[in-house]
Amino acid sequence: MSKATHNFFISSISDNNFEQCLKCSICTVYCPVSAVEPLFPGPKQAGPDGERYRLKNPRFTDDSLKLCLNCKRCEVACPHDVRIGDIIQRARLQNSKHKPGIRARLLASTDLVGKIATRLTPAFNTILSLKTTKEYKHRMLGIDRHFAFPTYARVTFEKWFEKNAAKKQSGFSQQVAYFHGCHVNYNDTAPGIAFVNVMNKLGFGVTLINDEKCCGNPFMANGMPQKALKLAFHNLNQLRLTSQQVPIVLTTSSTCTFTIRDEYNFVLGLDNHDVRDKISLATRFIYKKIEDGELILPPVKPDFKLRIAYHSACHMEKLGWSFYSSSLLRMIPGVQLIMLDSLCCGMAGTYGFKTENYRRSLKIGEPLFQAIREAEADVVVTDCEMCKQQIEAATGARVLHPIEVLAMALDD
Amino acid sequence: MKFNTIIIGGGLSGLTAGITLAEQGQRVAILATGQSRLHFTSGSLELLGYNPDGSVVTAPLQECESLPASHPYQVIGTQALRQFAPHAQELLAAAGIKVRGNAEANHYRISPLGIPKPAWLTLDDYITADSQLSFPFRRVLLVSIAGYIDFPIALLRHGLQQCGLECNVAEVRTPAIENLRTSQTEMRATNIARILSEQAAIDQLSVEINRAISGEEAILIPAVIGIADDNNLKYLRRMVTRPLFCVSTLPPAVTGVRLQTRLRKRFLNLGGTFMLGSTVRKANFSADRIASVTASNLPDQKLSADNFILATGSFMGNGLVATQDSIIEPIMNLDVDATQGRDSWTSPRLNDPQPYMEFGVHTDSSLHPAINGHIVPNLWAIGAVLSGHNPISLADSTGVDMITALFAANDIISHNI
Ligand code: SF4
Ligand code: SF4
Repeated sequence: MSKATHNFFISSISDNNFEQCLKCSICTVYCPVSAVEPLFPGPKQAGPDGERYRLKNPRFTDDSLKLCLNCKRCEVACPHDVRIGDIIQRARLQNSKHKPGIRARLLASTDLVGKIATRLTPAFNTILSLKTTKEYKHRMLGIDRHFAFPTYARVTFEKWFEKNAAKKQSGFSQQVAYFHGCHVNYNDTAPGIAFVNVMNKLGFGVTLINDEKCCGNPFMANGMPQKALKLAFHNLNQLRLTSQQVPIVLTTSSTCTFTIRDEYNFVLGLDNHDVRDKISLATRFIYKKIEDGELILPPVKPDFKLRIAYHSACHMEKLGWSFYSSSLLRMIPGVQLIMLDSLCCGMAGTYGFKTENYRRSLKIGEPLFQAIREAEADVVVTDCEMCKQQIEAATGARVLHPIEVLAMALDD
Repeated sequence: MKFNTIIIGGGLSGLTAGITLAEQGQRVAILATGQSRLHFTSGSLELLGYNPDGSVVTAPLQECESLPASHPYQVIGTQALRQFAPHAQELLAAAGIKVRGNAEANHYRISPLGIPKPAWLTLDDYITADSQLSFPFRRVLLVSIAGYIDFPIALLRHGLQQCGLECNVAEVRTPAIENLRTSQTEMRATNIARILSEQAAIDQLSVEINRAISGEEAILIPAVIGIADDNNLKYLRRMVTRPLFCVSTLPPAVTGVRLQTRLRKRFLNLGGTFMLGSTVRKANFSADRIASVTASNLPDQKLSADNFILATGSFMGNGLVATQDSIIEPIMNLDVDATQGRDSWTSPRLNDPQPYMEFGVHTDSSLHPAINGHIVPNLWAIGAVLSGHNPISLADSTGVDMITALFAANDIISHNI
């Protein structure tokens, strides 16, 4: 069986990747924006087709590229490995003439706004929910008044960790590092707290990344490549430093994970190969440990019962990792799992916050919301915090992170 | 990750095998690079449309006997064709796809360019003619949608007239569809189908169609309705005042997407794992058997199984790759049937049968491929990656997909009991 197998695949990450396009239009079939918005030229046109023109003259870059959610569903569907989403994002970032306005800065600065807001909660939450504030944001900033802006946690995750968990972490013989992301730190600390509890129960101590900053994804999405680059540099350095001591870095946010692993390289053009494979979602890490026989799932509460509808977030789909989260959930005795059709929720980070996108965003998500209503589950589970936000607002369903489910299920 | 069977490729053949194995309780994973050729299927499947001499096949189960020994139907034995052809139909029905036709006698479908072509199974809501090329009506209204370019109405009309139909044309426009015309490039069958997934849009359309009818006995519309299921099409049929049938369009085909969606859903409901965006790059052997494969997006994950099925398709799906001087199966470098020398790959006349179309992986009579002449006992090759068939000159592609998939799946089941 020694006949050499060569690598005949065309390299899919070359700058001429767009030339691999067969013009089959399959990507268009799966683009959630194309499905509801005729002004969007669609992945084929905005991606590989448009790229030919833009390479000749950047003048061909037009504003419709902004309508792309960067969900990468086109890429997942493409039979010929065209990096359609990456091509569009790069074109947007490289050729954008407009200076980002105050709203883009506000929405992108999850870290800065979070820092201020958590200091001022609950006043900030009240202000955010006030009608006049919503009106102001709607009119002056273009953040849709219908949108329930994420509320802010009173105590950041980092503060909680310092106070309640940090001390006992050194008592574990095995250690993992945790990149918590902005949302866990400022808005919804529950998945972060659940993560620490679960890892401790599994026998791992948790270390935080020294001086973690926003992964930069919101800055890419809001047309601020310089900011994103700065953050990416910073985080890569911090991750390198941390991983010298603790080589395993775990996350709970699918989008932060995807950004650090793939977008840093493909969109921002940074060399992240030494960091990339050290970063993994917690669910994937735990599943693989159990599969390899290195870990046994501790006992679950005897009366634990939960009917779960699992939603594959776009970036989970792109990572190919939904399998890990859903399989881990399936391992929990008492869990009944329904896999929802893999569809975009329409939120895409900060896209759905914007007035011009709000309606389109809900329209994009409607087939998913419909499926959720039909599933009649106790909870919806997803790995993405922004999907959670959108699904809760649109359907009223309770949405949890898989690690939260695991934390709920494990016996004390 | 450990499975009973891993299938590489998520098109018609991979899904057919996956569904059959999952129905028998196997733990199955399908790994696919992206979406498949199914997106180009019109409303019909073909078992065998033409004989090697170019004549039309009327009775596929009999005429397959005269195929050369290298054809996949002959490789597995034409008895298998008889056995599995009805299974294919049952499998489609269980996935919610209702078809007409059978393997004993071909009927005619109408191609997007208006040419009648022999077919095995056709979706229930499509126009077909019987083996004598006669239709159940004479006067039809051919509806075109304003701004929709993938429906060559003049050619279609001409074709239908050649078949003896009297054919009036009406161009309709509705507010919902007009809105889509903002973007010319996106005025495609699948996008129109998204618009027409709302009942209000169907109401508008039915009003326009009814208004256009005069003395015709039937209505023909482009197949632009029903991307996820056929509920809205049924609704439209109730709303119009004459029997209504679909005519297939140029790709991407709504019906193809529906076939893919329904089959995938069926597979998932049976507990199967479908991984899209996972290109298999490498197979890891233990002695002469495959132990596991590795996928592009999960490089550090060994995907292991007892059995493996190669359903990667032909050149378009990268199941076969042409280098400067040879034809290669890129994952395992399996033995391939192909002629030597680039010049021999093509015929100079475009409309002649093209030799490269028949290139593919060489197998034994159980569909096991080989490496350097050594059979790989836990690997089966199915569908378009196989050598010896020709989707154009023989019109056998979907038949080869489904029949070889059913054959391999049943072979696996019988060995695993
Ligand atoms: S799916 Fe891929 S190959 Fe097909 S048109 Fe889109 S980018 Fe091109
Ligand atoms: S990334 Fe998503 S929104 Fe953007 S073109 Fe692709 S499918 Fe459409």
